[in-house]
Amino acid sequence: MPGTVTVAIPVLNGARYLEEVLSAVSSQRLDREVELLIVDSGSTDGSLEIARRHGATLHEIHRRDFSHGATRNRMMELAGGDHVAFLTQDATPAHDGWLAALLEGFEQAEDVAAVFGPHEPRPDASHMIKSEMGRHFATWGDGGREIHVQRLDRSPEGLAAYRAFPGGLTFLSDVNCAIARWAWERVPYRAVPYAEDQLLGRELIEAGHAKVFHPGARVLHSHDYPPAAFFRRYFDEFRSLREVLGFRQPWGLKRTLWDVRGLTGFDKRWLRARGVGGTDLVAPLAVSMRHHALRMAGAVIGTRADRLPAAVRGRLSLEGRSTYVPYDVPNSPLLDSAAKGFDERWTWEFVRRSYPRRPVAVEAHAGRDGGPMTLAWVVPSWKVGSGGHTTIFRLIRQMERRGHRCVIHLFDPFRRERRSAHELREEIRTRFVEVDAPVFVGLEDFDSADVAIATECWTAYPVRDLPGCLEKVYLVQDDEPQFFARSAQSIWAQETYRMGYRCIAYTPWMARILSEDWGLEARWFECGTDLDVYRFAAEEKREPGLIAVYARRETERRAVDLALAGVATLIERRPGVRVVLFGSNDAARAPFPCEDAGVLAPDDLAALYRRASAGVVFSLTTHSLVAQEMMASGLPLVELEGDNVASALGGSGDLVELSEATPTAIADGLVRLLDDRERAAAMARRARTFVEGRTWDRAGDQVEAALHEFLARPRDSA
Amino acid sequence: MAVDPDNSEERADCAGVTLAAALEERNRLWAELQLHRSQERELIELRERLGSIEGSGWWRVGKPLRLARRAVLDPALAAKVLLGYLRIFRARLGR
Repeated sequence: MPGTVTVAIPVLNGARYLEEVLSAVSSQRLDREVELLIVDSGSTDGSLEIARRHGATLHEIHRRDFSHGATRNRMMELAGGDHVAFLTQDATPAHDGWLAALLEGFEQAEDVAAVFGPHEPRPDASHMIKSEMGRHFATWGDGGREIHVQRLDRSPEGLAAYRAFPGGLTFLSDVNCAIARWAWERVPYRAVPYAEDQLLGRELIEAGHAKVFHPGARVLHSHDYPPAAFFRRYFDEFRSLREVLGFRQPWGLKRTLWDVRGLTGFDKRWLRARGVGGTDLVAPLAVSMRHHALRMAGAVIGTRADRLPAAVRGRLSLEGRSTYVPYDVPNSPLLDSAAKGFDERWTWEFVRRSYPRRPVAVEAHAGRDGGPMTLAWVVPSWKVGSGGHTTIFRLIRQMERRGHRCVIHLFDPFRRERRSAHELREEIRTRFVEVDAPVFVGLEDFDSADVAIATECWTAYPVRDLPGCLEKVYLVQDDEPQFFARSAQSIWAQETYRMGYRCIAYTPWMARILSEDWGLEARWFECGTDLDVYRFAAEEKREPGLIAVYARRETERRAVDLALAGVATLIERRPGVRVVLFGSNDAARAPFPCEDAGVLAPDDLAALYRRASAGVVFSLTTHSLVAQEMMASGLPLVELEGDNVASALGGSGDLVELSEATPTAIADGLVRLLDDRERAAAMARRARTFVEGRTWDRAGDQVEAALHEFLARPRDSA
Repeated sequence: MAVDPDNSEERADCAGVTLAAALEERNRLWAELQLHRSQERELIELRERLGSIEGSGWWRVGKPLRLARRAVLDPALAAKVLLGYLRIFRARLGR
């Protein structure tokens, strides 16, 4: 019968509430025809007469043929309605709009397969039941107040949320729900004796259908038993959950006690909210504690009923059932142990999800000719003293001084950072540079920006896909693929050069690598040096024979062992030379006596540079800022010759003593510096002049010019 | 500013000024939005931290000590609280 809705109720000796339930069903206000269908499985208390009196379509089955799942399938077959509302024999519609509310749920979207509503406790229910039911149905609809359409979000985040709390999406109760016939035809009830509704809820959601919570579809329904009966009822309920769904209630002495305490705490808050306080709480909370302890006991023992003798099961069961019969129900492909074991918090998940390859996402625009910009800087986690981060924060400050607005997002897939955004911002301002930019941990709050800037290879991954940006820029301070031995990480670091970023590189050397080797559009900048800290000291202030060696061994590209080998060769020739190692808090293992100054604050570092007669600092990739700081302080130094150094300093050796990468050549270079102090001093003066031209303002100009240039030429017209 | 509608250069300049002002305003609002969001985040984090402190066992165990300290530092408040408890007790006895 088109347009008909069926209200279907399975009944077995339900006379206690059946008259009330059927009267409430009959009084529903609805502009559709309502069919009342009852399947009775052997009542002897007058339920059949009540059903007939209310004009129900009555079908009788034998008690042994009853099964919650199979019987409801049979009811769906017998029903004439396009929508079938299920009630239990003790669930009374709370008002005459209950059925209309259920049907309104189906109007929320075309794919709504099922609608359910809240259960309200009967007035004589205990406070524990009232508290629990209120809390349970507040899960949906913003505290149980609004219509809530649920669908499974299959994004990684959605699936992770689903696995964390599947019940939020899968919950469905035949006590009070309605099923659309078309949905049942695709996903029928499983023929299980219990938990058929939970299974159906899960299978409908995982099949891609929608499910709706409607706060108006309320029924009165609660059970109250004496304590021992409650325990036995929970034993039955949880035994069924284990048989059908494989659910096992977790337990441990501390954990279970804590759970009971927590549930009692909920009751306490519920009571307090209703004006019960002080010593009046004692008695009800004692009842709560007993109730929840018995419930936990029932749940723990019930879900382990397979381990009990049949006779014990029979004694514990309120239904008198002594069996334990597991059912072969297919596990959820999304929730089974393999899927649950999938750790979406795996460190490299952000790389895995970046495939298949896609180019940087930018918004189309007509080109911007100068003017202030909004810049989102995505940075990795840091340690105080990090030169790379110092450069980033200095550039941010430079942009702010030029009227551009900046924001900083910390991207930390390795979970190194536990502090809050506020604490991180304070550290940036006090230990690095006093920026104005707000700081966020992660990218959840990212909204949009004229330019999003990746500042390190791992940040290039999330920045690539950020929405709402006119341009995406990669600030490349060093050739990071070279940091790793041939490995997954070196492959993934190289992958960032294929993403289609426009680049701003530190030094022309790095820009050339990006453009010539990787075909990228690259501009470059050169870092400044803090000349107020690294002040020049003339020759007469230096201690003869004192050598400062940059010894950050944990950074392999610093070639510290090569430096130590060179200094060791020098000491063989000049035993009186004194060596100070600096730059690392790891204990130094040098083959000669030396002082280990560890990681020094800039002022102390500068003082060392002003005292020493020669310095040693190597970088096998981008030219090091440490070298620049030594040059600013007037410390003549030995560097390894190479394109990276020549690009920064010229290849003539006018500014630093260039050396081959052998211990002998390094020692020769140091000897020249130590012996010919006039030459060394002249070199130091030239180096200082060179560095004075490298200011942070100049670096800021270079970066700003590059950003403006990129924005002026949208990608389509590039 | 009065612009000659037939002078395209003047119109372009004016539009440029207007655009620059709009851009500056947009950027200002963007910065305000970022600040607002960061402050909201900070509030959430502080509330969570406060909740975990107040929910900890040590906090509850220390409650009598904190009450005693308050009573010592603010005897007037302590007296008021004590009177309140006495009233409740008397009312219960009266029942």
